[in-house]
Amino acid sequence: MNHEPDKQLEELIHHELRQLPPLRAPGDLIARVRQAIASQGAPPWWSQSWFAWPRAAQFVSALAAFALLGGVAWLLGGAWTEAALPGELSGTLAALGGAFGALLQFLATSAGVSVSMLLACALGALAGMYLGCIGLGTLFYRVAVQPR
Amino acid sequence: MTNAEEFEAFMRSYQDMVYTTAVRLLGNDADAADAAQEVFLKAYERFGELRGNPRAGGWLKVTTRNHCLNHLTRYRARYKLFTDVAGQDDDQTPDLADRVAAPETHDADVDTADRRTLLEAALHRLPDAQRVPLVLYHFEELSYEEIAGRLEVSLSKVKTDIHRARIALRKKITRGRAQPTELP
Repeated sequence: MNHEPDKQLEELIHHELRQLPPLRAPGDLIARVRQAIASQGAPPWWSQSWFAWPRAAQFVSALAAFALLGGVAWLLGGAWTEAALPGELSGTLAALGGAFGALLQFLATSAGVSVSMLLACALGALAGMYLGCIGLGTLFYRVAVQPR
Repeated sequence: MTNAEEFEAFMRSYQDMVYTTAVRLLGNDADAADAAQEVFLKAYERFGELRGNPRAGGWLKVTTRNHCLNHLTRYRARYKLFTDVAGQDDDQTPDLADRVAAPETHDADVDTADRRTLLEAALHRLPDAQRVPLVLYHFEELSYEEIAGRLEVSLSKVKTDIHRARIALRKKITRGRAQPTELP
């Protein structure tokens, strides 16, 4: 089978098409883009990346995060004392901490692992569920929402 | 120079390239202008990376191509209609050369610029199913296999559509020449 004519045709068309000059964009394109940018505006700081937040908001949020983590660690570590907290609150926290500790111990014993291993597995499962949610959400978006 | 002025200069440098890519893929001036606007809005979001970057032109070209192909894919039903109906025989629709007055006598005087105008018009008038793979092959320099994969059609269909498009364009080229050439 002779492909020579097809090759010549391809070369001819390629040559002619590549000689075509670029077309001129519409005169109002830049103005349209400028207008679209202006109408979009900047999103509020709290919906942007944390790194784009104002310094004061970054400082306060970081402080709050550390305080929260420190508080949780402090409570789980049992470092608090009844003297440090009001009587009613300390009693409630003690009951919660005791129940949580007992539950952890029960689950660890049932599974035949240590409490720390159980916590690590629980964290792993949480991460897996989180990633699963993202995956399922993406799948749902691609299948059901994204225009085709 | 402010950021806005820099971006405006950036747009001035690339707007013709972006628009040309879009109009050749979409075959429609209004859609191409919309596509160019969307591409520059994306570029604005990444202007920090694109500013002064020698690869900015390439990024714009690929982004334009992807945007246009997504646009066409979104209207896949229409695309298929073109494939099945208009794509069968492009000779049935009158071309620009047929519509100009007294083509036989006029053709001899058509100069290069006019011939290119006719060719550009003929390219735009091709059915989507022929024009898109042709543009991807000759302007975007994609292989047949890449085009088939990107358009989600068979390799043989891509080759057939491009061949039909070339034959249609060859007629315009030979009509535009003072001395029609014997071509394959």
